[in-house]
Amino acid sequence: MGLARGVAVVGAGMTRFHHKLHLDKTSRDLFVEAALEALDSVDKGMNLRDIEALYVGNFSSDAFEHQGHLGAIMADWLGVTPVPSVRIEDACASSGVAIQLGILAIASGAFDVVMVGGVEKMRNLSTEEVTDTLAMAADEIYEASVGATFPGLYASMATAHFAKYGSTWEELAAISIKNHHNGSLNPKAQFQEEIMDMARRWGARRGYSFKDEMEFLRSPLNPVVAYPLRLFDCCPTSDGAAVVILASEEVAKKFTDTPIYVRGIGQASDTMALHDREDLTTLKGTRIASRTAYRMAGIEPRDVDLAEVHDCFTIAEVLATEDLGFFPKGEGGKAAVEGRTALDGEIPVNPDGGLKAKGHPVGATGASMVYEVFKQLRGEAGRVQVDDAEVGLIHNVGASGGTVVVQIYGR
Amino acid sequence: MSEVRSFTPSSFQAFLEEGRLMGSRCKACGTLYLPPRPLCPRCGDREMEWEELRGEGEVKAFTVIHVPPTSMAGRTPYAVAVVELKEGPKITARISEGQEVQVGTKVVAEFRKEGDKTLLFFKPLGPTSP
Ligand SMILES: [Zn+2]
Repeated sequence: MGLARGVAVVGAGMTRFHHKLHLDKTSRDLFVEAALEALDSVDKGMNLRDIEALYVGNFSSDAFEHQGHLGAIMADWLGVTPVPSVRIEDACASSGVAIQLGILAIASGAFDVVMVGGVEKMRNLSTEEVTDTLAMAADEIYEASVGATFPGLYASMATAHFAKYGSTWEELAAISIKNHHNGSLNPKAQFQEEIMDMARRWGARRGYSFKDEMEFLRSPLNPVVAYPLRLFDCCPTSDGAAVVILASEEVAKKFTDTPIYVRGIGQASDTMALHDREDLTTLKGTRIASRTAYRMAGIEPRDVDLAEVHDCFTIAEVLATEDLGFFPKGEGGKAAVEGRTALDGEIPVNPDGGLKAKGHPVGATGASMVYEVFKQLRGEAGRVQVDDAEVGLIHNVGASGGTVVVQIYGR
Repeated sequence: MSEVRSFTPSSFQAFLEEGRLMGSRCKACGTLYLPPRPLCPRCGDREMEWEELRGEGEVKAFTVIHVPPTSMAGRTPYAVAVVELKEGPKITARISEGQEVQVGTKVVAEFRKEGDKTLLFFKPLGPTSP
């Protein structure tokens, strides 16, 4: 199965993701900022009037900002009314799904140019309120009300993975260290700091000194959130927006000489509750969505030059790199320890710092992954540029795997 | 009498109030579901019947929550586990207070009142694990 006609990305923009910078802004401010940057990134220029439809991924502006109906709000404040506008909610996969739908809309022939993005404004609530809001993405009756938090669900997958494969928390720590390193080189990242630099800074303030990252990560300055996951195993909460502009293959060259083409897409759903899954050490949705995307693109996992995967927790990156077929089951953590997923490794994973260091404004994350792949494949990724990047993959997961989107892009 | 209860979360809760762990079994293909479901995702059939589970099982995954949701504020740390019942299906529940588990720990169901609601807990079978 393939697309009825070709689809390309011709522009991309994003705000910096951050926990403090955007406190005085609302989701509409952030979305418009990212959208205008996307528009300005179009090489041969694009006008707002070229946009024929708008897709907005967002998880919970209702709870975070007491604002619903985001599709219309963004169309209004971006000044593109009366084009059709839609809000898509699939937890942390909201904008990955939005892009999927934008791609399908263009492939169907209905539109030639659509704008798709995502936004989340999370930081105006307390940590407890954010925890509660995020838990809405789990099964409220059979998981959340039992006391399982969102970190708790991934922590459970970690204990199952440790028991089945002999993987360890030290392997998880390697992922956090790698993603912070990448984030330290990315001007859009929330945390642009190596873990060792944070260890020195935090340590100085609290009277500790650490000989290396691992000593810091084992210390009380890295408290347990949900055993075995500690603070540095968890992505932060963030404010931010990311937007991409999609165009049909026919019109793409009107806007740029170097569009990035959609080569394969896949999407899958799975049970909401972890306990209803046969295997707690794999995201079946990732396996199914990626196999669909690989088949459409006519490639194998080893053909991927870089991957943006959904590392909401360090264990999630382990599961992702295994379930996407980069490494055998049980080997994902070891691969990170050995540097095989580093910027100069055989398959660089999360060159932009991932959710861990770049930040995770839930609804904006999928679009920010496509933003990074767009930059990488055009050779515009700055200090995190992967050499000879020709094929990029994005993997965006809703909550504990109830929704998974995989997209493959090529030059 | 219980057989007429619909296969909903509120029926499941009503059974917990009676100290019973009840799932639903598909009459067509025999698959057992816990929590109960009104239709069978495996074969698509809609004829289900209630079935009581013994409450004995094994921990397949667990966590110890240190940063709680507001509903559990002040009660950390507490353990939550995915338990596979002997009859086959799995369910998420808290581990009884003060008890520790590992993946593989054998556990048994406990029904405990918390506030005005009876909740499902599991505790390790036999001597407390280290
Ligand atoms: Zn059946």
